[in-house]
Amino acid sequence: MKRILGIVIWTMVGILGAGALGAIALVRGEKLNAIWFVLASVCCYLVAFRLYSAFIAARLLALDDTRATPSERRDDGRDFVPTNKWVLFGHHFAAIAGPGPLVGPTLAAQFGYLPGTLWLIAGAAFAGCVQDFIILFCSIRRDGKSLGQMAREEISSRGGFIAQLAVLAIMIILLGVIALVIVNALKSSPWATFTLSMTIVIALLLGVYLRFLRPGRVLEASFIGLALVLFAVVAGRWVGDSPSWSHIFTLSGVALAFLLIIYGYIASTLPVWLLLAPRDYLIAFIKAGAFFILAAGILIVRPQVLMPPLTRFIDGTGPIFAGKIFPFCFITIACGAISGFHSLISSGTTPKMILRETHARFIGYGAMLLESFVGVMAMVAACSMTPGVYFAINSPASIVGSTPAAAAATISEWGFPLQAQTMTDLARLVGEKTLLNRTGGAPSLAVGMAQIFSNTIGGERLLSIWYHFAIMFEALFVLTVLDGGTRVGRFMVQELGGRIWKPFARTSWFPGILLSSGLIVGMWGYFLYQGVIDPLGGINSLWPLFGIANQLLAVVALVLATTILMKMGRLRWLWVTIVPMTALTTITMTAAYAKIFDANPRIGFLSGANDLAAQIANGSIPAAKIAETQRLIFNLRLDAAVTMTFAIMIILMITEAMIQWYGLLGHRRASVLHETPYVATRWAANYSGAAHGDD
Amino acid sequence: MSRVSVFGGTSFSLSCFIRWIRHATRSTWRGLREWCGDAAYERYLRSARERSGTHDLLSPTDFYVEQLDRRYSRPNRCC
Repeated sequence: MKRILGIVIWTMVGILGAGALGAIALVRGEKLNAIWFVLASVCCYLVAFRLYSAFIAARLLALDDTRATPSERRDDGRDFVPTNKWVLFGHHFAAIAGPGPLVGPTLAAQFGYLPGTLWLIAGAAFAGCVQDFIILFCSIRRDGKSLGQMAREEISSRGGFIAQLAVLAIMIILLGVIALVIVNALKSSPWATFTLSMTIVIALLLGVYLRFLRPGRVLEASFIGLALVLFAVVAGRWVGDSPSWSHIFTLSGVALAFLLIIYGYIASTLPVWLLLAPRDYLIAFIKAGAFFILAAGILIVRPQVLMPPLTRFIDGTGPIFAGKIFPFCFITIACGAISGFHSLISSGTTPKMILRETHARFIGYGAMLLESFVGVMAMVAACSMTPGVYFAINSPASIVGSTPAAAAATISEWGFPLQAQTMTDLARLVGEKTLLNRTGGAPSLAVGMAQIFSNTIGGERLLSIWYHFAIMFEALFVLTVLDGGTRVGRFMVQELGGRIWKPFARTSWFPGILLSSGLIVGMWGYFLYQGVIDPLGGINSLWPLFGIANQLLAVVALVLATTILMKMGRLRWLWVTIVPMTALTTITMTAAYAKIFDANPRIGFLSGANDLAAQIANGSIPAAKIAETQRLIFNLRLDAAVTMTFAIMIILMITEAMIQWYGLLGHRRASVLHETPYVATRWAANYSGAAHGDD
Repeated sequence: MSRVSVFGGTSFSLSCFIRWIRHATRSTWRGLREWCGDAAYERYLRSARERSGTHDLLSPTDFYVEQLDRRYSRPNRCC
């Protein structure tokens, strides 16, 4: 009876999800309510979790609860700690959810709501969640080893080295790009710049509080910090309104870029307790709160989605970034559907804390589903604003013009009606001087979120507060990745440098710290600067580069997963990883080819560089601009070289793995799994989990 | 203790309900402290005492600094 009831309920959930998805995909000519997006995504996630993740857990991985996990065998109260599955889910989700699933879908909305939403749901269910889940499982079976270590052991030492290089490369591009997103959000905005500056001061105060006054009392410090941050958001308005203060905090893109570079350098060299950790504590609660309010806001307000399902820009002529729907929609969405970077988290802290093997399904697969849902919410927020406004905020001045009148005329010509006055009024309502040409996705997402928030609480009166709360939330998010990433990048540079000169690898050696921090900051700082001076707004060239780098790491993770499954003898079910791996390789390689060789100067780096060189040669660039143009040419060629390097890394990694697979399938090579030996759990018999709160 | 009737027949004891609320609040509070790291030192003490008695235990400050150094030496935040 229970079984029949279960079948009936799950069939209903499936039908509801299919119906909602059908409504999203097929409705034309009338405005769609955001509730359909929530219904479609939640039902698909539930079905995917109930069926597909259960299939992977049972058939592919054969999760075994009688086997002691690393947290049980090596429990040291520090790294290896048996943790309640809900608490660990929270940890894991907080670690994987960054600015990517917010910004990516916002940018991809230029194609319309349909392609992005479908990829968010399907990509997560069949690729992103699968990758996170399987890598988590592999790491649990190997005492919490990292992706690089596992690649070295299970594929080859060359494979491990490529994985290590891929991590460093993605880190550099990632940091440069997300820093650019936040520079574009803070540019000429004294309110937002003041609020973000204050969060750094607050983090420093909390650092001292947690280190000297109340060591480790994170909860009380977080609440104090939260209250101060909210006050800073409100106080930002006074700063914006004061002519003298507003002057101090009104900064250009270049000035902000240099300040961020200096911040990254200092933050990565300071003791962790002083700035990085307390700032992380601040964002943890703000992140959870903002996601909750956004979800609740969408349910309460039920906004109409004003963007059409498909826009004319699927042909590759989009103003935000150039490139056709395939492959650029998939590259742009990035973390909301699949993120290679997640495999570093799945092979980092989480496997060391997991209590039972079966929890890997809920934590690995489930947390990624939630991240995908965050992406769907960002898509709804972006698509529920008037399309004309969306394009006016996200398009660079070189395409739509820098005045409201020019932008309104250009965007209206595209078929998205916009009044110049609308942009002026909106800027005034959110407390900004202008919202035109604010590329990068963060300001438009903040406007979308603020509209949903203010319709829930406070109305138009609080729109400016909500807007700056959203900007602060996004900026804090980025700072978290920026300073933490710079520090980890520093360790990687030191480790690689240590192969050449041993003392360089000592992480406590101060000259080494300064030099390696300078190197890593210099590398991402260069990409940031390049984006800031780019007349197309930087996002056009750098965001796809970030997407390619991130998917490259996902290919590395899926290649590793496939190799391990092959060694485990799961040949029948190899399609589970091979299909997403092939799809991602195709997407990444097509995008890389287009970014390097496409004849359209807005898409291809080389044709872009050649176009500028031709303009210099035929004298159409004024003499005063020639040096700047030559710098742009160099940057475009550098981007082409970086993209080429990524493509070569993918080819090398797959070739390396294929040699292994050929040997394994033809029985020319012994199938040696590097799992830790089986140890029975002490809790195997009558395990209730109550001692560890597993209730 | 009084019994409350809901949905025309199903009834439950008020004391049970209060116990359930208390349990849920306590679990949530405990989960929140675990999640944000507030309970990390207590957990460390519990684990260290089980393994090696009371010798060579880190002070709250030393433990706090040491665990942060370890946590921030590997990727712990995604994009």
